[in-house]
Amino acid sequence: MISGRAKATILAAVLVVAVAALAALASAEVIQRDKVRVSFNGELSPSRLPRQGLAPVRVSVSAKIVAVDGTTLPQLRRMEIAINRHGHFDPAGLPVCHIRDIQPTTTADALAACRDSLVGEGRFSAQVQVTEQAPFPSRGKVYAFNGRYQGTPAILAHVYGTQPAPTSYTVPFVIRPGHGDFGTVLEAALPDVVGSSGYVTGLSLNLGRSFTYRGATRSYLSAGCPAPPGFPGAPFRFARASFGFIGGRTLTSTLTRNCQVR
Amino acid sequence: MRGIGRVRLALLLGAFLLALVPGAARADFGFLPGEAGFSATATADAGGAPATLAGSHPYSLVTEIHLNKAGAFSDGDLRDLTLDLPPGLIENPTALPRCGAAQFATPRTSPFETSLSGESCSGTAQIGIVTLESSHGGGETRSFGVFNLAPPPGAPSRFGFSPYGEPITITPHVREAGSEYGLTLGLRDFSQQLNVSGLRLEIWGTPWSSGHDGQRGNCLNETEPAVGHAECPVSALNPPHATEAYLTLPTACTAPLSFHLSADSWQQPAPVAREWTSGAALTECDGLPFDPVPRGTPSTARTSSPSGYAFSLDGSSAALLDPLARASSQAKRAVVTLPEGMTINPSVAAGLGTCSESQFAAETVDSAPGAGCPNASKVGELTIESPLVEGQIEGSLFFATPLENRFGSLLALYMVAKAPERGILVKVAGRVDSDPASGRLTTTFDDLPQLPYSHFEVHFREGQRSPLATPAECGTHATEIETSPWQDPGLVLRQTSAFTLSAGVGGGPCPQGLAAFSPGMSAGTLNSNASSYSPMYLHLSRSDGEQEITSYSATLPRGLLGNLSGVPFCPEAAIEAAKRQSGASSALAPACPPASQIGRTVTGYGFGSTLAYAPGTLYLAGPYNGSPLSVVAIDSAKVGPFDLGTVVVRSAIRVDRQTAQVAIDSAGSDPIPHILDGLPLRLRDIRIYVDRPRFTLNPTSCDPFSLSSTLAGSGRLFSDPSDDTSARSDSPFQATNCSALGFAPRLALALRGGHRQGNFPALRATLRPRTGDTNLAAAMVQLPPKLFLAQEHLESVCTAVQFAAHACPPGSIYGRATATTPLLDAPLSGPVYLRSNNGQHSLPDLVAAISGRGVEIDVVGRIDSHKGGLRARFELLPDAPVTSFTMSLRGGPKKGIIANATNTCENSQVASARFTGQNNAIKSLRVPLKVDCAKHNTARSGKNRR
Repeated sequence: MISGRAKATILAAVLVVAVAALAALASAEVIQRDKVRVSFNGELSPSRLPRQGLAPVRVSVSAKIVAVDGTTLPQLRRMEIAINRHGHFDPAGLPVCHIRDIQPTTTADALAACRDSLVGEGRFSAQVQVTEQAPFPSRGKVYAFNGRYQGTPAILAHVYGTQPAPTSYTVPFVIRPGHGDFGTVLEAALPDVVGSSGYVTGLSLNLGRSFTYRGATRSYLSAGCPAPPGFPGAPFRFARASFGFIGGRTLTSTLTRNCQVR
Repeated sequence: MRGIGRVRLALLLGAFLLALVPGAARADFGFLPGEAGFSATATADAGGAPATLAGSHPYSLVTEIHLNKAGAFSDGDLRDLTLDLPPGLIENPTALPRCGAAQFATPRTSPFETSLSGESCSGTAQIGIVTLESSHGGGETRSFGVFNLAPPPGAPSRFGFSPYGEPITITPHVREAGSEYGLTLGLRDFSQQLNVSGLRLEIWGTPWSSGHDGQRGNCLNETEPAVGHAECPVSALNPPHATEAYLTLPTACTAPLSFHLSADSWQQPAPVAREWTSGAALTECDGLPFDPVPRGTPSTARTSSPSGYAFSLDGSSAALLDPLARASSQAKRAVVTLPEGMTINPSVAAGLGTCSESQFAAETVDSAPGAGCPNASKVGELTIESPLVEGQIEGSLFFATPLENRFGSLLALYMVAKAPERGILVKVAGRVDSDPASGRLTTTFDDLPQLPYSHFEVHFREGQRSPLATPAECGTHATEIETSPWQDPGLVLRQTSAFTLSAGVGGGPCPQGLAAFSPGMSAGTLNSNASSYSPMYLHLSRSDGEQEITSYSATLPRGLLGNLSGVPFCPEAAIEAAKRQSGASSALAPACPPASQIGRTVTGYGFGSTLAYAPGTLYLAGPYNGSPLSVVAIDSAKVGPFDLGTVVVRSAIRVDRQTAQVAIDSAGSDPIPHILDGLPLRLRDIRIYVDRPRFTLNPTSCDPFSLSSTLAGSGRLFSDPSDDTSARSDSPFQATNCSALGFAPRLALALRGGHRQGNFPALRATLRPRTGDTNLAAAMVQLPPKLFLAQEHLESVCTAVQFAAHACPPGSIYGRATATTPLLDAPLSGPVYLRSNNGQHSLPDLVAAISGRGVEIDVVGRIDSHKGGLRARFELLPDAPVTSFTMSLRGGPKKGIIANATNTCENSQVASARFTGQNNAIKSLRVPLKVDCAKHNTARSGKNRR
């Protein structure tokens, strides 16, 4: 027989091990195929969530793509980020930003046009390799606006940079339902950057917004903690990212994160 | 009655006069047929055996003439006899004393008989006897002594006899017909009283020979000359004289001795003639000595210097005078090859005249200087010393008219030697050949006269305009001489004559190793005012002894340009035609049109301080050897009498694609010729004047520049470019008064094809500098921040290699540009590329590759971002006048590279620009972008959107 004190001690030890394990799981997921290495990372904030019901959250995801041998990357053409089914996108009540209002334009003008639709921000980096030119980085601020793309709810990621030349892009992440553990999928087809000479090397997005609609406070993103009863928290498959490169190669990575029941 | 009486009296008087004229009724004056009428024989002995040994001194030369006669009277009274002796048969009048005029006029008194000879000359002056068959004494035959007399002016000698007191003289003269020289004996004015019907003239080969003692002086039996009255030797002369030969047979064995006789009578002035040829040619030529001693010496011991040249041949005359020896053979042909490097001095052409064939032919023994060959054609002198002539025979060396001389050669000489007081005229033409590659000279004199000489010397004149120049190296140089004797023209005697050059040019040290090469170069414009038209000059020169100039290249100062507007290219066909023109015709009727002329040239050739200059013309021509333009110098290579055709030197003109800097590219240019038709040009001085009005335009920058010239020297071998050496010179060049030039360029920017946000309008920039201002040096245009670069439309970029090869992919074209300049008839235009800059900058360059009339200019702009706006900086613009420059960047939803980040109609956009003039003036502008809003406000479709 194990005494209750002993059980408590064991449970505490298990929890310590589990937390330690989850702490390890909070680092980036790295996958590599051939010379292409993708580091995918993501966080959920806050991590203490209700077991029942939803609470406003912010989600950050980021990806870095490098060629391990220093050579030119294959071009990233599609990106898909699937979010756990315990997370919800709820744009209802948020103004919709139209892509024609922010593309092309500066960040300031984009915000001026669609500030009410802002649902997140981040950064974007790419490498432009023009023949016989030294590769130069193209990077800029990313602002994510609630919008629609081809009739479908979408997050419009607006990128603006001035170096080496003033330019802007808007990447529409179409929001569609998912399956299984992942209830929501953000899917984007990346635009050409400098024709066929642009190579995306990084993207980060920090999504989440609370707003008032019809007198009620609402959150663009909300989530609950899928911990089984009796457990103070649980690891879960937070997000899965797929990176489709030119030529059909796709690298997929899944992040597991932990939530705690509040 | 009285009238009839007068007529009768006249008829009687006429009949009487006719009766007084003997033979007047006889019409066929002439020689008896065949050998009986005329014969001539050189005898070897008193027996009359023919003399056959070439070069020997015969016992006598016997000429017999018999005229037609009736009874004791010939058919006509002999007046003149002219006897041509065979070429090479010579007399030596110096072999014995002369009979004075008084003695020749005093009748002979002989102790042995009653002499009928009208002279009383000493036997020492007797050279033979003459036997006359005349009407005297009813037709007697009588002999008389023939004596050496003092020659009259214009004759080499004279001898005579005085039958019956009627003096008859024989005057030889040197006969010249073509290459044949010989003595012609003239017996003039036989007295009619003699009524000669036969004549036998025996001239003794060695007058003082004892064999003639019985016929000498008073010992001559006039009626039976073969039987003398006594012996009259000359051995008892006090002081004694050596016995010398008087006659010498030719030294050639090629043909029998040939004589020609003509005679006329008092009644019949028209001469009758007769030929006589001995039976066989002379023999034993092989045994004749032939030992000329040649010597060739320049007039200076310095290298690479103008030089005269003395060439002499010394011959032995001892055998000519020795009765027992055979004479040395004379040179029939002499070929003189000067040492390598001793060539024509082109300076000789300055002021040199020529002697034509007709002028050469007009040279006679007594023609005045200049009456034949003009004095201006004289290039030297010659002297001949002969034992047969007292004193020297002097003469001149003339330059024959090129190509129109008897050889048809470029170079030929005429030698004319005269002794008017002796009637001697020697005329010989010599062909001069010049090696086409080296210019080495070979002179050939053929058919030299068989005039025996002891010393023959040709002396080419000295001085700055001397016809020759010495080799470039010190040391020993040898003239090669080939002589062939008359005795056997196939025999060639090869000899050399060496001379030494012991100093360098100007008396300096001998050149060591490779010749120096430090040419002088200067260049500039006459008027240095900025933006002004001015003639440009270029002067290149080198010193004697330095390497020859083989090529020239130059880089003009930036901004020193040529105004090609209204200047057509000289057509290629015309340039080719010019190459075939003679120098004279190219000067009179240039192949290139005058409208193409941009300047002129003057080139100086030669050595020393006096050069021969030739003018030329400079024309603009089209592409050449990869260069878009060329300049062709068409020089009439006619210097003095030398017409070497037309020298066409075409220089490729390279125009720097970015700076428009003009350069003469020697790599694509014709080499400068150094030898034409075997005549080394010795190019010393090149003067180029680009003096077409309003052609050469000064820069508008007053920065100090230079005109860089590079000359290539010929190294050791002219024909081998690998050993060429080069010399570079920078002539300072700086325009003035740049600050006086204004600077007020205007810029217009316009967006076309879409004003809405997300549209990709075309951008058109038009720059209009003000006429007369300083030219642009740099330009910066910064677009407003609301105009983005549509990177996604940057389809392709032209690589540097592709650009250089004019092989940019079509996708790298993003617009077009046009520039209008007053320097060209038509605008320059071309595509606008994005061109790689090999990673020097983040973005590729924006390059307007415009061209017109072969001139290609790249207007290169560096593009980047500044203060959020797209910026283009053109930092190295040509210093060239431009009236307008337009650059259009394409627009459109698929290819436009400018993206509106705002509605440009609702939000007016202003660009900024900053221009820098070549005079460093600065002009900053704010330029509103012009947008055609009225048109596009009605088009609200999504057209021209992403």
